[in-house]
Amino acid sequence: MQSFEYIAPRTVKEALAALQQHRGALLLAGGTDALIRMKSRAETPSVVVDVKRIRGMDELRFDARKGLTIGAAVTMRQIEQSADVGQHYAALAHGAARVGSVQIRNQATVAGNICNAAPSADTAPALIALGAKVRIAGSQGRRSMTVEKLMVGPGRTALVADELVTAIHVPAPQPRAGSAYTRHTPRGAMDIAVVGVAAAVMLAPRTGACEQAKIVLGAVAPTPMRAKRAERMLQGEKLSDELIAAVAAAAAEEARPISDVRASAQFRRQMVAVLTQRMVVAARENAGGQGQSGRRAA
Amino acid sequence: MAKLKVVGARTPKLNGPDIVTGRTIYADDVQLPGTLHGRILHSPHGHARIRAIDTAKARALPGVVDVVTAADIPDLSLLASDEVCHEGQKVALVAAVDPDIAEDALALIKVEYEVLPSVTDPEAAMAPGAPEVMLGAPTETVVDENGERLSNIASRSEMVEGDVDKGFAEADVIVEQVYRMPYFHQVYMEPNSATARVEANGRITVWTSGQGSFNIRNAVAGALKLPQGQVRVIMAEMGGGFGAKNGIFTEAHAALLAQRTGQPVKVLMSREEEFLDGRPAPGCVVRLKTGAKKDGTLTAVEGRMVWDRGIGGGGGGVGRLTDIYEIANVKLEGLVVRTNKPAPGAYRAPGAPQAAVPREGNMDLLARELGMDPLAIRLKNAFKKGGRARGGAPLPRDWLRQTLRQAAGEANWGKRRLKPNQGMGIACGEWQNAAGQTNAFITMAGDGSVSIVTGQVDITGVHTVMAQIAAEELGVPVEKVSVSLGDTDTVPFTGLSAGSKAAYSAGTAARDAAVEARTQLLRLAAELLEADVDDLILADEKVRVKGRRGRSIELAELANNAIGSNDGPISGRCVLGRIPTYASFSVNIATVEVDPDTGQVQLLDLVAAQDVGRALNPMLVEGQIQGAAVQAMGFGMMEAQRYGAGARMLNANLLDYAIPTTVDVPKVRTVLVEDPCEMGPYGAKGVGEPPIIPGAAAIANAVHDAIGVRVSELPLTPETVMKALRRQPAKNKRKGE
Repeated sequence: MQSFEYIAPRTVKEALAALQQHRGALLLAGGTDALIRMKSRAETPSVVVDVKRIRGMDELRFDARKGLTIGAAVTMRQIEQSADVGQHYAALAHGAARVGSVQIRNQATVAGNICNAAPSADTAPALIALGAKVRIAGSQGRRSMTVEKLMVGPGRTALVADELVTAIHVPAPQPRAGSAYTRHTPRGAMDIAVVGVAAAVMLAPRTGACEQAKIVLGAVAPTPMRAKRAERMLQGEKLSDELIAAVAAAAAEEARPISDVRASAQFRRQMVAVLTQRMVVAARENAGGQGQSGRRAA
Repeated sequence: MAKLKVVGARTPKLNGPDIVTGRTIYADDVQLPGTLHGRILHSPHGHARIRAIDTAKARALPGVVDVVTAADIPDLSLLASDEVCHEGQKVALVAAVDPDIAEDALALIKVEYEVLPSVTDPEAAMAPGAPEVMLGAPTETVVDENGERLSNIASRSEMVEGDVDKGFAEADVIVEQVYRMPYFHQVYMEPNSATARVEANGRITVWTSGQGSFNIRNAVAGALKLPQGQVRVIMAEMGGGFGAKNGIFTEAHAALLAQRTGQPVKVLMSREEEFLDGRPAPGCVVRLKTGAKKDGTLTAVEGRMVWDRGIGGGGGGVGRLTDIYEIANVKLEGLVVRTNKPAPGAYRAPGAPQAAVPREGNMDLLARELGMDPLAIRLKNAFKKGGRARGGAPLPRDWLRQTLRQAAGEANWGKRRLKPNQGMGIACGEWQNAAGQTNAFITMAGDGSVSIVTGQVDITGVHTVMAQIAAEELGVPVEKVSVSLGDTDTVPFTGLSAGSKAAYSAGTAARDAAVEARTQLLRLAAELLEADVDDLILADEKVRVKGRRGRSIELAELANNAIGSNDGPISGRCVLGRIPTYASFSVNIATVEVDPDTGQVQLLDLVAAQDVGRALNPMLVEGQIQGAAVQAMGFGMMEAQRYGAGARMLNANLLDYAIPTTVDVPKVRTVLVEDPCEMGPYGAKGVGEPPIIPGAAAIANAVHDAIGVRVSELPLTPETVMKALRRQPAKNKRKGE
């Protein structure tokens, strides 16, 4: 690793000043991705700005009407262990719980996970399925955008040089809504997704028909991607097992996987179908739909 | 033999507290003042000609003390000179004042390569017309079925017994299958690190870790063309070796840089370097045909084992394909093919897990065809009393069948109720441990405490076992015994801690040395107590006279007395050459569940039974078995060095090269089959290697049982299982409980 200057601002204002002063500074949250890149010299920043010391950044706040606010320094472990997240945002809890190991989850942050913008980021499909937005502070002021728009390519976000993510906001939970996330990996921990799938559905009060559906696929495109055709097939329909099977097949067709050392494109496509089927069923159950057998962990 | 008190006890590892609290000094913890940091420039290509190397910029970098290429050391072969044959081959060395400057310097070395065609798949490498792996390397003439000459064959061997045509004619059932296994790595926790210093008198001292200090000394001396007496090797605790660390890695390179710079030099390898320039286990492709009669009696085995040995060449045995079963008619061909990959080294029972997969796979295929229980067909054909496993001494007892039966009992074989997509598989392994070239020097201090010096490197608790043995023979608590590792200047030549020989051999040496010390204690006690030596009892730190209450003397008093006597301190020594050994056996029974939609195999449990003779320390033996089970699971389900274009390794890191984590490993139920053998210390057998042999084979057989489809390519990753299921859909015999 090359030597660098370390700055740990206490306020967002200080952080922005540091970013303005040191062009090309590296933002550090949990460091579980950044430090590895620095050690391998994939990145050689001369200045590192640590966001973890900024006051309020480690706050995880849930309000039934306002939704969930995840400060940029909130760790995967905080999410995993939050009863509110588990109850109202099952997919996010599943995603956070699958990252690395306990030691890594104690260090890694959700904001870091999406800003690192790996196609396989485990919390990204869940956040996109749940309609999450990031709050961004920059020298030009504050703005917000969806997580879906934030991630623009492998390792690339829509953030400009002197901007930083201060928090992630997930909309308030809706009645009769449920979500789920799972991923395929060759081993049980310390792995990254070969394929990840999040599904979120909202069911109509009496008919049980699907009012809203999102299916988000991880690790099968340059960014986590929505399977929009599959989502449309669910719209307004009863979530029968037959329909879900057809939707799973559609999602597999929409995926744009590549072949690499972890898996072939063909296998990834096959896994998209299997996992989409399983996650839509799990989301349906979490929404209180047919086939309910309690809260289903991915 | 009197009842044993300390030998056979579950004595915790003497160095355990230091290891788990971080106090242990490992090779990389050795910090000498003024140490330079050596780094290695490796070939980025799988095969290339080196046209030119320009080191000017690297040399000019402030902080760089030395840059070395083959041109600087024309008499030594430590660096590639004009051709590199695998990615990771060493091309140049840098020594600098800190590791980062050394890294920067590597980036400034310009090497002009002419890339040559390369090949990493053994079947592709041996095909007629394949690219030449090493230009001009000698090859064997072997032709294929069309009479065309195979490429890159480094050696060929054959094993013929009886008449296979007759054997197959007698068979009622014949099965044939091709099995493929990749390169896989030992993944020891500690990457290699070596520090070398030139002493004022010109001798070189090397601090490193490994499985044998003398092997390293001789290799360093050989590589630098120095007399052996000019090199001293001091070993730190080793963080895992599993056979890989039998030889040198960067010790000679550190010593070369130390010689050239006159300063101490440390060379630490990264995990990536361990993969690219390591000594992994060889891969293989095995075609195996086995015939049996209706009652399960094996009649013939025929086949070919192609060993993929990278640029290593060398020999490749086939005997383990028959190994533990009585088969009258055998015709096996062994080929070693070169590929553009690093030369493999030893990995725990070298070659045996790879042979067990096809051998045990075919046993299950036969059992299926015959409608026979896989346990029954093994019991039927297993070597029995009098059998000579791989030409070893005839077995005095029925060890293999004993082990099979105890494993089956523990696993509830044939009675366990399985759910859909679950299956059970059984497999056997055989191993005859090495023994010899070891030593133990024991002294008793004036307060009765005991110290042992040995040249035997402590792996897997060998020193703890030596302490137990000394405590047993000298009647002292194990806490009063310390064990120190001598270095190459202080003890006689000692062989590797490898080949399941360390506890077996050094345990024997500890016993014999302790008996010598004990004899001295008793002789002295007889004098002082005015009693006959035969009437003395040595126990609980004193010597007493049989039948005479109150007539006793403390060991401390005896030892102190001895120090002032004409004979001198109580001491015992044993230097051993070779001692004989017996074959030992291991049996694994795996239970798995396969997700038929994703191909994910979950190992639900593993019963691991082993014929250990006598467990000198059951806790340590169980640890051996459990550790080996995890490695076997990795080989069976996850691990493979994968290569892409240009013979470049695609997964030279511990994310993409997956080994099992704690959440993947089920409970390993160990069964120690204790039937003491006559040759080992207290009846012990070598225990380190046998437990890794049958695991992957048992898992593969269990997967077959679960889905009704043979997956014959390892590792059994989800994708590999799904590929097999696409060719042939699952035939699930269990439709529910």
